[in-house]
Amino acid sequence: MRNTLRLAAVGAALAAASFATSASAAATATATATAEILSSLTLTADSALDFGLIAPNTGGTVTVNADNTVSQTGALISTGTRAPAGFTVTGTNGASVVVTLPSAPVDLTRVSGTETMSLGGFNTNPVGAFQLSPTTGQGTFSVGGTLTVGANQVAGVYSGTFAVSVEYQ
Amino acid sequence: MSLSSSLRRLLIAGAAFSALMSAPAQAQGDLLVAPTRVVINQGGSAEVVLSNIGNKPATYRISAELRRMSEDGDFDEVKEDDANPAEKAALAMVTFAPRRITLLPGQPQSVRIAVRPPEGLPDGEYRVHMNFRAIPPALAPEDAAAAEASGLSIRLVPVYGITIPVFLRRGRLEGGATIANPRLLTTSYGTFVELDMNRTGQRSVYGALIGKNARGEQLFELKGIAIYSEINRRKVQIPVPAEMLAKLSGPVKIEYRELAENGGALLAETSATFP
Repeated sequence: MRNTLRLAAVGAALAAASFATSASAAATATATATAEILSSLTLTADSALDFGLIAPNTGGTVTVNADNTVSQTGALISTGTRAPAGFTVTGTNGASVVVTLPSAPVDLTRVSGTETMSLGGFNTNPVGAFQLSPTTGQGTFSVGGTLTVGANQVAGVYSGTFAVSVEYQ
Repeated sequence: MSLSSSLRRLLIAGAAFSALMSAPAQAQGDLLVAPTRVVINQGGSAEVVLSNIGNKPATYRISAELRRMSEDGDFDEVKEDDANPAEKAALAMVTFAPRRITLLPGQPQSVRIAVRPPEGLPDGEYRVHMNFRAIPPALAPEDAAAAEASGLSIRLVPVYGITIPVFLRRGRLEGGATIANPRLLTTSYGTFVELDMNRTGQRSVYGALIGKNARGEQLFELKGIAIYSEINRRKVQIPVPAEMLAKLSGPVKIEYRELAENGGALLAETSATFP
């Protein structure tokens, strides 16, 4: 019984997810009438975390915070567009979601090289758990961090990844 | 001097704004996961649908991870080495397939999750968090070529995903809750009703927090609030919509209820009068 319900719910969710005709989705839904179908969660990336252009000089740090504030330390020169990463979450109206970020710094490595830079101090806006809109089920959040640039950091493209997850309770 | 510096700031702000507006959405790896919570009693299996809602093909990796809830309701990642015996048991009894899926835009696929409790497993609630995340594409050749240019540029790729809890409940488990000390809290994000939640029993509890005035009018509601079994108390902050602030005067009844689809039973209630 329980298995049938689950399979049917998955069928309905599959139909809904693949944007099948509303007729077939509705048919599956009425055949099973289970409420498990309602909860889905989507995550889309809207914009990238951007540190702009950096002239390393004798090094320092550039911080782009999730709340759009920007700061720097040391003798480096930081210009250009600096912006936090932006994401959109869609789920159940009025539900609480939590964003988790790396707790330790990640390394960025120079493309076709071995030199690294470190990215840490990850922060989100809003901080901690937040509520999806009670009317649309949508919410946005941004992610920022601090880049540490060494003295005379070798020029090039530094590439790396950082993990962001949206957690349901 | 001050004029030129503020002009420069304006120019930079303008540039940032236009870049934000014109940047194409990074749609590779966008995803949908349903359902968002799986509870398996005694043992068995469930299916979760993963769908590529981006506009390019993407490869997703699926993994079972551990999380602990903190008393402020956040999640802490738990490395396998730091896992306690119950967490290790949870990881060991969960199997799932496939672990890696490449999907075309709009294409869904179901992931089967099976939980097989070993002989002699003590009664209790066991939990893992299934993580669905896109594997970032390899660096495009033109970007690699740009690496030869002088200057310092940074290419950061967020590996982003969705994590849902999967529970195994073994034996007859009870779970209850109380809520206490509702108070108003104003931050830069707005006004919140903050309260303390306490949990009793051998399993987690899950529901919605709902505030109503004396006329039964709903003032606020926060869905999807759990107290996991590793903690006995947590704090929670419920946003109060701006248009409801004026209605907070007079007694407010706050209920913690199971979601309607789980029966909607009342788990706890309290009342408050906000100054």
